[in-house]
Amino acid sequence: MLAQLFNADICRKCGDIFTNAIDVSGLTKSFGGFTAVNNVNMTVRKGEYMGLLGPNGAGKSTMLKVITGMLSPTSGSAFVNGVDCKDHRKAMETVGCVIETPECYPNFTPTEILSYVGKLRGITGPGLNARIREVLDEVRMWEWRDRPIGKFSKGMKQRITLAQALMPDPDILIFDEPTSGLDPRGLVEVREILKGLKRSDRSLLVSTHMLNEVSEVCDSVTIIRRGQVVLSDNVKDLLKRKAGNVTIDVTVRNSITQGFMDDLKNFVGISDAQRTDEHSFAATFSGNDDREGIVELVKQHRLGLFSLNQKGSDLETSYLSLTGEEDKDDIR
Amino acid sequence: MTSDEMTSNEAAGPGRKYKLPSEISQLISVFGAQMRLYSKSKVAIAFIILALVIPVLAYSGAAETIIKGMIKAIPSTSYLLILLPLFTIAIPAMMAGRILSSEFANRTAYLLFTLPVSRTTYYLGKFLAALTLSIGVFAMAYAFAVICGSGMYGPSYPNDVLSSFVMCAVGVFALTAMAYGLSTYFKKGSTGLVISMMIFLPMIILALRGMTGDLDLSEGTGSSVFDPLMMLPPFTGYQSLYLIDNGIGGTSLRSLFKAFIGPYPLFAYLLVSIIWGTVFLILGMLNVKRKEL
Ligand SMILES: Nc1ncnc2c1ncn2[C@@H]1O[C@H](COP(=O)(O)OP(=O)(O)OP(=O)(O)O)[C@@H](O)[C@H]1O
Ligand SMILES: [Mg+2]
Repeated sequence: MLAQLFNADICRKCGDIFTNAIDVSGLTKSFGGFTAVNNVNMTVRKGEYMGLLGPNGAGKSTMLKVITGMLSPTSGSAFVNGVDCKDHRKAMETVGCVIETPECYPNFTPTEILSYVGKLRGITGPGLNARIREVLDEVRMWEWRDRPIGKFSKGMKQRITLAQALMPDPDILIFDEPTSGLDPRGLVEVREILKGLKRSDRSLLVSTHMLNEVSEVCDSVTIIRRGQVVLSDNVKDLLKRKAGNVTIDVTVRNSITQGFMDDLKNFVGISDAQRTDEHSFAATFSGNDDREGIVELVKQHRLGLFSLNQKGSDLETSYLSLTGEEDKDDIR
Repeated sequence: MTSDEMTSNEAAGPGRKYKLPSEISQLISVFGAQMRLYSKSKVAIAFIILALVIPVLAYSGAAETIIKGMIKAIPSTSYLLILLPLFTIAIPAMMAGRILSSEFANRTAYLLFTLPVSRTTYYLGKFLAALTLSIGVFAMAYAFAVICGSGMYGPSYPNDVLSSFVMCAVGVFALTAMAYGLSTYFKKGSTGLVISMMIFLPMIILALRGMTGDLDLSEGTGSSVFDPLMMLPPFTGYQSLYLIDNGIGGTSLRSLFKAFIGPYPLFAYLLVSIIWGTVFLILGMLNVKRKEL
């Protein structure tokens, strides 16, 4: 008995090392004649936080639904933890999901819904109550545990669905636009929770059309457009590579002098510099993003720095060019 | 407590995993959750109250007045029992006709269907809950009606009560399965459809029989030619009344409901109901299994 347990454990550990968290290959999903996901390949490694980015109708939800067994693929395959998604029960064993704003029973309280989910996942006895407490603390909803969910705000409901996904202490989290429809406050709260979930042995696949969500929460990004992958990269590398395009807007307290503008134009790495009004200017870097150097220059000229903003992130620039947001036929 | 359960209890806490329970224990959880949902549902509670109110209706004479006003042709005894055939239809349709379609309409399926639970487990677990409640509420209504009926019209024979109840219970199964299976095909469920089908179908058949002169309800003489369609579940309530009326209704109801009893043994009716129910149950299950969310 013990030996069996030991072996099973070893096997699981070996498996852990060699399998990816999520492996999607040649995945295609058609609805009638319309192909929503077209031959997509994607890998989420163990411990990786992957953002799935794309405009409305790109096929993000469709892809996540195939992975989580809500849709069956037209062709191709998806594996979670090395298990084919067709074996839904086994594939989802250590996966927590929130797909397309699901709802909890409005008459149930958080405790009731979490206890139901917990039992379905094999959490029993006193361990169940302890786990409910842990996840409700994690999403900051413990005080609301005995109120009916139907009375909750959208943000609170969203946090309960997150709590539900966390019940089995999952290795893999799959979230579809977890912040959609939230007000700025709810959005920040949920994003903070997402960041708090980060752990070296946990992977996340999150779809969004919010760029800052990806750069704040994820390590990697896959951009899809019209059901096809147009880019898959490490977020840091992407930022580094695109650094040449960064433009900063700077506002200062004193009037900007011609001498300063001359120095700025000659500053190493600056490809373009414009005075936008008496107190502000814009500068574009061609090479390194040396904004500290610019701050120094402002100090030397005693202009008094008031604010410095990056005009459109690098991610945004590449996202817009890659997804062709500007061409209107994308909106279906 | 099994050793498996011990492990999962001890494993509670961050960094440790839980063992997926068997499909049977998942089925029991689904069943339990559905029963809990019923306990918070106004329709379910209303029906239980209605069943509890039967003795009051009976002994206050209210039932007699109401039903006599509606159906003049019925002989003057056993007014109360005539509610039973309607109950065999209304209870299953209300209890089972919406629970699954509302999971899709209210998007709770979007949460549950991502869990490591097979759709068959959800489907059967919820059905068993609907069946338990339908038969439970019906049994309560039936028991009250029979007790009140015996009190008013004299005792019935225990054997007839048992076979009459079994007939009704199997009819309730058939209609619960029908309402439940059909509900997967309609966004708003099947309650209205099942109630109207089950009320109009008998009316159409009776009208046809009446036109050909095979059935004469007003005289209480019963039909001379039995229509095999009358073996279908919408009629089980009337058939069971025929059985039970041996003792408590004298000859009055018995002759009226004779129209619904053909020359077949009891198990033939039970078999028809069981096949009917199973077919609808399977149709619904196939639909849920291939449903795309
Ligand atoms: N069940 C369906 N039947 C037909 N077409 C569908 C179905 N589900 C999705 N689609 C289509 O597939 C495309 C991709 O939809 P999907 O929901 O995956 O997009 P998305 O990337 O999640 O977009 P959003 O950001 O708006 O959520 C859309 O054009 C949509 O109209
Ligand atoms: Mg979507």
